[in-house]
Amino acid sequence: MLEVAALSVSHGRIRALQDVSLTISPGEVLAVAGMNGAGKSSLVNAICGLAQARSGRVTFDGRDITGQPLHRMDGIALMPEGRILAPSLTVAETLRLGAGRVNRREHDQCRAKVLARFPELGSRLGQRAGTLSGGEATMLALGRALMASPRLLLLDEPTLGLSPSAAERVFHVLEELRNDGLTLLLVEQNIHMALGFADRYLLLRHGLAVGAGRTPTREQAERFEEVLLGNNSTGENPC
Amino acid sequence: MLLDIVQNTLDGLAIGSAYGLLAIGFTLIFGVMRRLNIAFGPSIMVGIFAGAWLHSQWSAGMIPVFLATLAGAVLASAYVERISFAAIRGDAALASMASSFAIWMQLEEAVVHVFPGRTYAFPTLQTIPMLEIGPVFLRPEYLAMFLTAAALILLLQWILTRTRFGLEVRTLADNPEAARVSGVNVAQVAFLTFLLAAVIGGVAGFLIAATDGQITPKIGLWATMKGLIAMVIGGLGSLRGALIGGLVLGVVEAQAQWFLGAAGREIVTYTLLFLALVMLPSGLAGRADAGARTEALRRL
Repeated sequence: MLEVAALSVSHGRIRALQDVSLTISPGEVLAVAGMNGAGKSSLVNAICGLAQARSGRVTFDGRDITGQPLHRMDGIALMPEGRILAPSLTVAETLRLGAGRVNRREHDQCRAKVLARFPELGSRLGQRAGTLSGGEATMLALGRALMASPRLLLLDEPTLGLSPSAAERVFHVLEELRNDGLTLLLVEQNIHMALGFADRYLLLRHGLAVGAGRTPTREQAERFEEVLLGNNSTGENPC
Repeated sequence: MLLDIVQNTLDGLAIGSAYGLLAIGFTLIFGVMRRLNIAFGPSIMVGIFAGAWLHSQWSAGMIPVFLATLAGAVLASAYVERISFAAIRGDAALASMASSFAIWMQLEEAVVHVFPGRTYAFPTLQTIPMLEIGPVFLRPEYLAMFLTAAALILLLQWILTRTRFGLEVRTLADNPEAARVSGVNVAQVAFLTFLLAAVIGGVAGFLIAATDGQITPKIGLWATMKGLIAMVIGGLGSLRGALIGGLVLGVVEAQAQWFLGAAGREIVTYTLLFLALVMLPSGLAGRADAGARTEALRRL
């Protein structure tokens, strides 16, 4: 479904990502883990055209989408880090924005599905996004992405700044989405939750892919901490 | 004297509605692009001269002249957008402003070259008899100006609140990053907003030219100054503020013109601008809007 080959991203002179490759098959969940500054967000942003790739190639369903802006990507939606909502828009308007240029019937059908998944948004359709709590804003950002009816959903730190119960709720929703067959690329600092949920992982450090494979066992996962904290000087695959 | 004040207020509201349209045009562009297009007035001037040319060459009536004014303003604005905004990175606001100033000079020189005379005739609405309501007179061209501006503002309100394009414009003005991550074609929306502002400015330019009945190339400078002053008085970035700023400017100018004469009017106008900058830097409507936005962004 998604294939990233030798992708490199630079921010000025800083190399944020170097020759990172990955593949995701339909229905799969890939967790991208790493410390702050490891290149996780740069990877997600380069996949969906928000960051310019210096080199490398991104293909989605066989189509080369390298550097294409998000509005040209049919089938991919993003839930960005920090949620990034327009505070003056209402919940209903934010959902409508996410739907793209669809007709009224398609919009209504899609919104009904999203509201069935997030009933808390249904009672707040006229409320401005800027007045929502952190948990509600996260659900809205997730709902906005789902309004595009994506086949691949890119999630950048969806639990950032949330309470443990709100973070659990997010993972519960992600579990439902996975059960519905949606393909997920999940960037998450909460490595234990991410690895407990994903099918496979990709570990980044200083912009390099230093590990990848099937989701590790609990014992293997403990070695991730070593790699993340920089104690693994060899850069070997922790699993 | 009270009657004079009432009469001046009515006249001021009419001309102020056109100022409001100019300020709304500025505000739309500033809201979406975070950059000031000071070639907005000269773009409108190009449209007005296109209408005047059609009128002088073919004795064209009001509707063809109106359409030519809009077409000229839209084409000139599209040129400004491509050269001074689309071609210059989004965060280089000063470069865009300097570039739009250069385009201003270019457009003005081009018009002066093609129309070397001092003034040119523009079809006017003044042939319609004046309306008399009790002790107050309503000039038909002022009434037409006010009603057209009101209708256009209602149409703009409908576009911004009821259409997909309007939703994208409001998102871009509120948080450009939110527009990008939501899959909005930001460049296209910005370009179309530029053209929408040109249509609004073109209508304002037509109304003003049709009221005066004659035009000079300085009308570009005049439109830029009036629009910018009204925008600053009302509050930078607020459409509501732009309209209020235009109406306030129109009424204050009409009173000053009557009681102090033309020179006094200009002094009062710039004093009003100075007072607005010093005492209400966020404008008449900008303070509340800015406060609400800051609070909302903090929560998100």
